Amino acid sequence: MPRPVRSPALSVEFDLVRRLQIGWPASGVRRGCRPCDGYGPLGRCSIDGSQITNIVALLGLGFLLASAAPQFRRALPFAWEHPLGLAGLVLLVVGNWLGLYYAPQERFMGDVGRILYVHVPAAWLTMVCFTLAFLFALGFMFTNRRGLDSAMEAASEVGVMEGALLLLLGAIFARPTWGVWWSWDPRLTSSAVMMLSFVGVLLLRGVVQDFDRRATWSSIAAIFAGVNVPVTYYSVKWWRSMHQVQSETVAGSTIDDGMRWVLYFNTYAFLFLTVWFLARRWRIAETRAQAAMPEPLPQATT
Amino acid sequence: MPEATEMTAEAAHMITVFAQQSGSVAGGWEYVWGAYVATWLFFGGYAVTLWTRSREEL
Repeated sequence: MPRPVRSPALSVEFDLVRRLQIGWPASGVRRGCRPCDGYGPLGRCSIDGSQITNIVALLGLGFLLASAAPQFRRALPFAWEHPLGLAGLVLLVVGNWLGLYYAPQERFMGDVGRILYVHVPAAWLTMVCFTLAFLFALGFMFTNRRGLDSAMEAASEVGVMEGALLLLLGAIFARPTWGVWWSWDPRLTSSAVMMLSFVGVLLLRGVVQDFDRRATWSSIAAIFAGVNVPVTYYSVKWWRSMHQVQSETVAGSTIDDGMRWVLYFNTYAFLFLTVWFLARRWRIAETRAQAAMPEPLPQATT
Repeated sequence: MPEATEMTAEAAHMITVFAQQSGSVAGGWEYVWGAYVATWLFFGGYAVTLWTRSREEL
């Protein structure tokens, strides 16, 4: 029986599929990245990255929980946030090295895909900061506690810093992959609106001098600005967007294991550094608030 | 039908072009380095502002 003759166009299509799979094993092909070639910098696939990342997370979050106890904080000879900041710095050095050299190439984006190890943590932590600012503002409106107002100020400022970084990294990522630095895409636009709305909160705090008015007005503004967080998160699902949908959800992950643990390693670096930023900025805001408080009335003497 | 023939030739050319491409972005390390350097500059710069404000106020 003679073999069926394929049309030239069909043959080219088969060739395209074959070319895309050059270097891939016949079985066990995982989506998203080139499989590990068997040799890492520390030996033959010697790193079980997900276990290392879990240990780092447990140590860091355990320290964070312990810091909530006043006795633990008092026993430390330094501010409780400094060890976390130092750990974040070390993790960032190692995590960046992993992202630049150890992690496999992304299948379609090649080495440019390595930007995701800083872009995605920046996006996550920006949303965390703005969500915290929203919650602190809500808490202040209900309790009128000054500490919550200071915490809202800290979370807004750190969120704006990381949001600006996120937009810059997104532009750097977009140029080689989409061909443009910026597009009025729903995800990009909503991210910019989210960041700029919290810039507005900070500007409002800068122009209002009276403590009570500043705290109340900026809390209301932060609550309105916080609405942008879920809008930004769901923008890729609600509207047609060039930006990909979420890769990491409760339902599962579409990122290859060899890339995911590096992503989480860098995420913990960002998280610990963000906690340090928040704590330091909160202390500054508290000191300023105390200095701005009126002098207590003298005690009445009989 | 010359128009149909032209379209077919163009489509075949496009398929050939796609087939000759690797399907992935090549190079781009300058963007990667730019992103990582920007991250360090942002974090480092903000840490410095916090440090100076802490020295003034705390």
